[in-house]
Amino acid sequence: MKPQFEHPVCDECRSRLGNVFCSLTASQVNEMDSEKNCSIYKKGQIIFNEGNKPAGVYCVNKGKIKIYQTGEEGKEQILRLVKEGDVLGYRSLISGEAYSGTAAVMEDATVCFIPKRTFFDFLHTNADLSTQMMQLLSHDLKEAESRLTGLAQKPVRERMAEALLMLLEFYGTDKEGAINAVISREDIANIVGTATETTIRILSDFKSEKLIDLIGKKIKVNNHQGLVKTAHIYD
Amino acid sequence: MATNTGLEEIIKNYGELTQFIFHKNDVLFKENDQPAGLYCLESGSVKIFKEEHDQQERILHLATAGEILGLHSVVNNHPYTNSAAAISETRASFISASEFMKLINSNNTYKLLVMKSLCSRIDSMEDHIVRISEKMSDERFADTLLVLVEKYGVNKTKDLNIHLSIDELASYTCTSKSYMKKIITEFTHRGLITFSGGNIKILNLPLLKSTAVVNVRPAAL
Repeated sequence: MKPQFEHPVCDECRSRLGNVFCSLTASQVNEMDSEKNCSIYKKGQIIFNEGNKPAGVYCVNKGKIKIYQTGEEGKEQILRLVKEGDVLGYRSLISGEAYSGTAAVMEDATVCFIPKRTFFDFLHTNADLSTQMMQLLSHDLKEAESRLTGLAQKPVRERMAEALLMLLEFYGTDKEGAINAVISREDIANIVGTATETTIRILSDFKSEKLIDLIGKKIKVNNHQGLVKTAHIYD
Repeated sequence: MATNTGLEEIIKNYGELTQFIFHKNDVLFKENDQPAGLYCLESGSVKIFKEEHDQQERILHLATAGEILGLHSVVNNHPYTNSAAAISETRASFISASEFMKLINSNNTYKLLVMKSLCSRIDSMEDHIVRISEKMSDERFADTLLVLVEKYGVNKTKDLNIHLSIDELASYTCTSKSYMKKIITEFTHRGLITFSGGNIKILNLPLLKSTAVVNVRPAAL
């Protein structure tokens, strides 16, 4: 018999409680539950494509996703990383424009789709949700600003250290103390904004300086202080 | 780019505004200060920048009439994440943080306008991020000039309607001052622009556009 995919139930979804949808009323949660559609995505699958028009928002129940823009030369620049509990695609929906980036799965994901109409209904009727969305966007803008400053000013070695610290903070650690995500060297390069070869070289430099350990495809931060120092983060 | 979301008109109709005139180099607000409120620009131009630990300023954005400044700091009630200073004489209306929050909390549709306004700023910031990571300095400078042409326009004698120093151009293009000088010399030789005392004349717009595109470089050079 074909195994059945059990749709996550919004009411019981722990991911929902960590995001903007925690402010929904009980009846709105039920409405979202009946209007949503959930899908399983495998690593490498695309959830939405740059240039397409949004039809709703996505709520990540499980998995890891990257959002990137493809440059004129075809190189990816990763703009944002998304994990369980995050909502994605809201910006294009709110601004009424096409997606400015592509969302692709980095680790198998379960993602629920909430139609535009339902989302806007909630926004118009739930003052807490609209306040939280406003705050989320304000936070996104702040992040984009510091990304820009970092990219513009820091040499690639410092940016790499900063990216590793960001990944550590974002994903946390697994049992072995490594960053709890398998991220390809190419993806790391596209986060930092450099070439894959450079990434491999700097990571092995960091390893010989005992700042990090490379466990298979995972990265363990050994010397947090040292990495902070390398990243030149003063605050 | 200034996207008119209608938020500015709602703020203006609300009253409770203070009018300000800023002269060149006057500071509207400073990074890390508590957010007193926000400004709607009516005319002029303002640079939004972060101060880096070597005291250099990194220009993130150039704002023009119709834009709202300080919005995300007021909404999240965190200190200003950047500084704003006038580059030319600027007229702006100021609304205090508490009055602004009172205004937008009175109507959920207003919040949607705030969101739209924030979205357009994030979009332009991300474009900038992609540009820096993939383009060479000369391509980025050509891009910078195109952004300035679109934003501020050129007058009849082909002069840009904004004056920027070499420092400011270098900061906005994300390159060093000495390299900026080199690129300006190169662009002058190629007949793209002339530059003197902050005044930029755009001589060849089509060629500037093709310079801004990522060029495939010969492998061995």
